[in-house]
Amino acid sequence: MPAENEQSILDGVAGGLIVVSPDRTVARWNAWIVSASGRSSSAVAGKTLAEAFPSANVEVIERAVDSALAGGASTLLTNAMHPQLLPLHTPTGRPLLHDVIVSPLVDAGLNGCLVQVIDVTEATRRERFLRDRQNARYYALVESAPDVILNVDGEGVIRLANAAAARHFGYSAEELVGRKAADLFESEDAWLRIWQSVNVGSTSASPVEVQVRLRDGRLRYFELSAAPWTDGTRSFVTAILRDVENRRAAEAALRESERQSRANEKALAELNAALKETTDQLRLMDRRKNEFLATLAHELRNPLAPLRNGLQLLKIAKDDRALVERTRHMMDLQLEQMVRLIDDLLDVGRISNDRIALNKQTTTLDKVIRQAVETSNPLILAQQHSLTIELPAHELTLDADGVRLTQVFANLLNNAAKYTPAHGHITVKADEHEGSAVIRVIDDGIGIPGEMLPQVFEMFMRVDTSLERAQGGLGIGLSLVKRLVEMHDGSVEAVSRGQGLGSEFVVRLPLAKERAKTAEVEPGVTDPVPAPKRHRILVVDDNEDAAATLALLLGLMGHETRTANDGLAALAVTDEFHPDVALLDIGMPKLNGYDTARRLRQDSWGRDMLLVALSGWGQDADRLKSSKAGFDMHLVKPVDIAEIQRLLARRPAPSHQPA
Amino acid sequence: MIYKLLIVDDSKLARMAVIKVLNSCHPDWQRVEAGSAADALKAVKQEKPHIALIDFNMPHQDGLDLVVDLRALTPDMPIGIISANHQQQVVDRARALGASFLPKPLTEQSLREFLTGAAQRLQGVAS
Amino acid sequence: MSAAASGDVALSELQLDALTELVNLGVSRAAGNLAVMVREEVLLTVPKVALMSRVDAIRTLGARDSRQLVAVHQTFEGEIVGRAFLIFPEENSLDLVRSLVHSELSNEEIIELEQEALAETGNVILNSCLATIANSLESRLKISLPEVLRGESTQFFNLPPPPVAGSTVLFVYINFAVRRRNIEGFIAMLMDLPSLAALRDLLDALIRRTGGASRA
Repeated sequence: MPAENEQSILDGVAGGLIVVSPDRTVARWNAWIVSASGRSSSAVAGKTLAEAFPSANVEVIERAVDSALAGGASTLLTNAMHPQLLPLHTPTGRPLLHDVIVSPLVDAGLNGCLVQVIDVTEATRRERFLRDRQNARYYALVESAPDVILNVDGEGVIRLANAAAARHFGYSAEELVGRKAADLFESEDAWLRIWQSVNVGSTSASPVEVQVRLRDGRLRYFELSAAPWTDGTRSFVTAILRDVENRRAAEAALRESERQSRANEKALAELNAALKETTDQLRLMDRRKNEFLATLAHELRNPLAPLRNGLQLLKIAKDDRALVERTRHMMDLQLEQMVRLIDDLLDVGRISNDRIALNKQTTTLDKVIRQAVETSNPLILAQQHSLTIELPAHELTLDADGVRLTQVFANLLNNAAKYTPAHGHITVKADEHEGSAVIRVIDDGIGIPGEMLPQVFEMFMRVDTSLERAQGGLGIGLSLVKRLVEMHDGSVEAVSRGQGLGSEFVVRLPLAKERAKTAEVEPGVTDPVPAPKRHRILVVDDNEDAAATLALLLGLMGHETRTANDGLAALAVTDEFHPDVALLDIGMPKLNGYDTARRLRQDSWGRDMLLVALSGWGQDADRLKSSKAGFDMHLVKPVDIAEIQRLLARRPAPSHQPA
Repeated sequence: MIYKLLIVDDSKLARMAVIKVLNSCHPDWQRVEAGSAADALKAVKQEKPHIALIDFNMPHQDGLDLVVDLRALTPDMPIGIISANHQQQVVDRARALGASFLPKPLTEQSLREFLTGAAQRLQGVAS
Repeated sequence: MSAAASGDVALSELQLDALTELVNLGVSRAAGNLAVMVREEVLLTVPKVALMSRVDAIRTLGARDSRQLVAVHQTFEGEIVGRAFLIFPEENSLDLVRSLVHSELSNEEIIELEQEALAETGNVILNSCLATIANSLESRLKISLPEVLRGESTQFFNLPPPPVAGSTVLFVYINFAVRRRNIEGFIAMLMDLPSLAALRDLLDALIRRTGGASRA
């Protein structure tokens, strides 16, 4: 074929053709190359490629040429691997992207090789455009997602992090890519578990709550879900993280408010229960109190009848000395009973108001027991019980209010006597045990049923109301006993094997550190009155009978007496009578006892008088008032004549006797 | 000076190629052939060659291991490693063992250079 | 080395020896080029050269590797005709590309380059291998452009060849690995019977050239 035809064929090819001679020089090239390179064929003929394109990166092509010429090898050089091999441009002046293929020309007449240049500009551009658009779509998808999306490779290293990751975690994408995903999590376990389950092949693990350590150091809860995928050769894991901190907080708040409301319900239920219990208690107490009042009224009336009868008897039988004596004795007892009842009643008040005051002194158990026995003796004798007392040989010393302790044991003995059928047996045993005195009052009486044992010491508690009524008593005794014993740092307990099987009351009292050595005031025993001194005594009371009878009694004892029935009268009598002792009732008309006393004290005569207040009230406040008004003593009505006698005994006789 | 040359290569053709080149340099020199590293060690003990040419790429024990063993026996023997594998790392390893490197296919020039150098070294040691 | 024989075509021990040495030369040159490209030492095994049936060849290859493979394939024609493959496990291909490209590229960019990089690399390696062999045999070969294939070894070796398919093939196999990288693969060549006869003649010529004027 003639050369010109060959050339026009070459020139017709839509691509570059360079014919290279065996000596590695350019033989010729086609029009396409001329246009793309701007160099004419003749300009480069006979030159090597390096000479033809001095500034270009042609060694690669030259190596391929050698390979073709020497070994017959064809070589492919792609734009992707070797960009811009030759300096070529498109008709519009843009860089022309090209692949180069070098292949041998093995032919009889034509040795050498062919360099083909293929324009891949458009193809490359289109590919890139499509890919970019595709990528852009996916990119937008991933970047616009509100949740964090991470792509993690087979070694657990983050390869991609979307914009949400930066927003939620605080780390930029650059900071995340290349890091191990496990580093993000507070506890590696959660991540490892998901990682393992995802990699073992379950299509996607169910979400797990994990804590992520944010860039600023805070911890925040996310819900992590993951799924594996592969691009054919390598496997990856997509991890999606959703911020659940607020949800958790809301859940926690909800749980807390539920818990609260349950707690509130429970508290409310408990309060209701407590309220009911208290209400029941109050009702019970109320009932008992009412019973008590009813009984009180009854009990108080009991002695009144015999007293009235007694008075009648005294009037009628005044000459029958024996009868008079018996009657007097009986009336005494009845009065005693009434006084005791009223004392108990006052004590009830004091117990309720916590106002019992102890007058502690050193005394012996022996004394206390004996005095209690004396007090209870009448009742014991009346029931014809046998009483046995077992006291230890050595003295047991107590630091106690003897009066009150006597009250305690008298009460227990009275109960023993009352609640044992006639001809019963009562035993009092006392002993020492580990620094305490232990006193047992044992009877073989009606006993206490088991279910009532815990309640015997309660106020207004009575075991058998019918029997109580028959025997008398208000049910205050044992509660008083308990209170008094406890005030002495002791304890009392009731023991019984049951109904009909007797009872035992055990009192424990701490022993005093020192033995009794000082002389004590002996409670309740009437001393024989020493040498009679004659006093001038004024008795003031608006109750004429009361004043008169008291004055009479005092007169019989050998004193000179006057009476007055109000404060003013008292003052008048004092002016004239000059008593050295005045017994003043407090509640009086015209001038009450306090004012009377104050006036008396202003007198020169009144200053040295023994002023004794007689009052129905014995509380500390009342005593204080009396003492402030100027009284020397405060006695509570009804007055124990022995008490007055003692007072008088202590007082020296008046210095002179008026006319 | 006539030296005895040990040629180690598992390929007979390769040994033939070496001998052919040797013939053009020093036709009078003696030559001993071995087809494996084991044979080479035996030959050294029996024939006591002065110089050794060893192929790098042999089965069972490659040429460089053999060089190590030879050095234990004859520390001063000039050794050349012949290899088609021209990778720099191989060349460096050969040099590190005190051996020269000759590329395959073996040219007369490279062999001549090696043998001259080897002879000089041997004469230097002898004197 | 093993003596190989099949049917009425056989290669003598010396011929096999020569062929092995040839292949060694070719592959060493190729490995040298690859080493330059990846800037790491490339380790080679001793070549295995054997005549066997196509079926056996497939089985042998399949026994060595059952993974998904990537192959660069070129044909050669001239006095001898056949195919050459440069084969990698698919999971290593991106690592190979990364070691070829000496700059930091993202995964996406590496993936985009993969096809071209494998093609060109295979091209260089196979060319150097085949060209060396051709030169040694003083026989001119025309070597095709590279084509990238994916699949299993059985698929590659069952390709209908441009040469007429025969049942016996010359099977050449060299294993290589890039030191310090997770890259390893093998080069395999298949030649069919008609080429074998021509090959024998070429080898004899080579032997003569090499051994000629020898005293040994």
